[in-house]
Amino acid sequence: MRNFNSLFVAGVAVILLLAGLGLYPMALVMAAALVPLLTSLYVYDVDVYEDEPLRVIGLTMLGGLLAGLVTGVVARVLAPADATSLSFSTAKVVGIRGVFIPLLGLVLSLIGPLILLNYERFNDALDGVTFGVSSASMFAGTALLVQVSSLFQAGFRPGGAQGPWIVRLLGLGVALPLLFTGVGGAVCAALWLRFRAPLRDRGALGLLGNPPVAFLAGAALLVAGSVVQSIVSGGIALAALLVLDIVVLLWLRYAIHIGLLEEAREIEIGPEITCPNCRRPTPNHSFCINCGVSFQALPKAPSAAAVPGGGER
Amino acid sequence: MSAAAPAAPGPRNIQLGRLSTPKLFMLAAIGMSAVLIVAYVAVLTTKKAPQHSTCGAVVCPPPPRAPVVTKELYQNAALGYQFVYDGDVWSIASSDANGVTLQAVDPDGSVWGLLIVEGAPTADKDPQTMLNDRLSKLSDQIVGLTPDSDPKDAIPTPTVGDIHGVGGPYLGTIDSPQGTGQQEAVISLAASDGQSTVGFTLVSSPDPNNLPFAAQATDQAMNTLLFPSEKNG
Repeated sequence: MRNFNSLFVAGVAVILLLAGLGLYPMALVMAAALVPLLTSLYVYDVDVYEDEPLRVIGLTMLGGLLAGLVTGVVARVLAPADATSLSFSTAKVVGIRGVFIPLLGLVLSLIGPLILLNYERFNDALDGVTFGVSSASMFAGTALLVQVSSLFQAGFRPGGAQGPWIVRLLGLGVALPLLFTGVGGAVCAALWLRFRAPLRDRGALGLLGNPPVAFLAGAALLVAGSVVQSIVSGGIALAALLVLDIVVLLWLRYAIHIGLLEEAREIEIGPEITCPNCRRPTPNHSFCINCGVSFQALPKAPSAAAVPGGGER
Repeated sequence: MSAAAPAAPGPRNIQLGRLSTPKLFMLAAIGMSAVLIVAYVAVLTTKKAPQHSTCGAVVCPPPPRAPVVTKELYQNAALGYQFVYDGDVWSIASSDANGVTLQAVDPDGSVWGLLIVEGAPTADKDPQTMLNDRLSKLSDQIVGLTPDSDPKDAIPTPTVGDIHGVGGPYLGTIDSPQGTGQQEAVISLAASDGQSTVGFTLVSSPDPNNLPFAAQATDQAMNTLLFPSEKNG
């Protein structure tokens, strides 16, 4: 994961560099693409789609892309981001951009993962998290791209103060995608725990393990993020988004933890292996006894023969 | 969807992933480069060609004035100022005790110009304060609002009605919770007769097929402004 963290930081640095050069349209495109790009690489790296790449990629990433396209177009039609929006009352802006559009996006971005829920081969709660995150990240990126494309007409350097632009780009390229992907992953975690987890684990997430409750909680977070941005701007809006990010990431982390425990109970202690994270010897089970890293959170191996003690998939 | 007992999750083999660190970084670099190339091509093919001056001068004269056909009078009872606007161009979007917001709407419903007219007792707000407040409010909805430094857009002597004031042209990009939108030109001016401060703010696309006409319609309305002292005098 350290590699992906580094790549994320590098991507944010590219966005800030482009903003510093006044190339705002290009910075916006990079902001839209960064999280989906890294998510795609992660999904490929961990081989989560196993031997059904077309179905999984189609229903998560392409499904999310389509959901983002539809939502972005609907948003532009209902509330164009031009002088028209300035003539709207605050209530109308909040109703359309703050409530309706995020809810539409959440529903559409969940369609692909919901179809995958029918396949018993994807029986890990962590699979649900990955599908939800993949679909939601692609949704967020595409919806943003549809929204910002009207600025392309203004050329490479449309002008504008850099400070507000940098704050906004951090919101659009970091805070907003994290909120969407976190909610997508957490809601799918609840779905997978309810319909794919062993009976004993179904109550492990408490109320948030109940899919309707998780959906409502996720929707509330998305709506809160959008409403805040409808009412305030600049650093305050960014700070509010980051607070919501922390909430949803804690929720997602707890859901992943439940998924890891779920898997840990199914695994017998194996022979000694070298921890891929700290490179020290440890029994092959759920966690490294030295550094504590969860082996379930690490990428799956392409074949059982790759690692001593590994089981069949 | 079935809640039937699912198969037990299988144990995962562990390794550092399908991609080695150099390969992962290389793929990410290729991906980001591809994104930048696509962005470059998208902007290059979408951007509008620069508008060259067709009159040979740096600052072109305004387009020929069309006579105001449908005259509408706006009177502010609380502050005592009034002006006439072209009812064929503008319609009232909203109003309150201090002023009115007019909009110019295309047949398809899109707003191509928004004119915010506001007033305040000068004792409460001088022209500079009113201008700053307006720009601050607009900055909540327009990212990077900054003075337009293009000489052809300059307003050498900001005037509201017959009174010299403050203000000028600005540029920014409309914002929304889902992302930024279209670039907009903003012209904001404010002046005072000593009793009341009145400000006119036009928001319009900088498109040369759009802005000159919105600016002209705004100018027509602004030129008819009577401050309270002018009405009474």
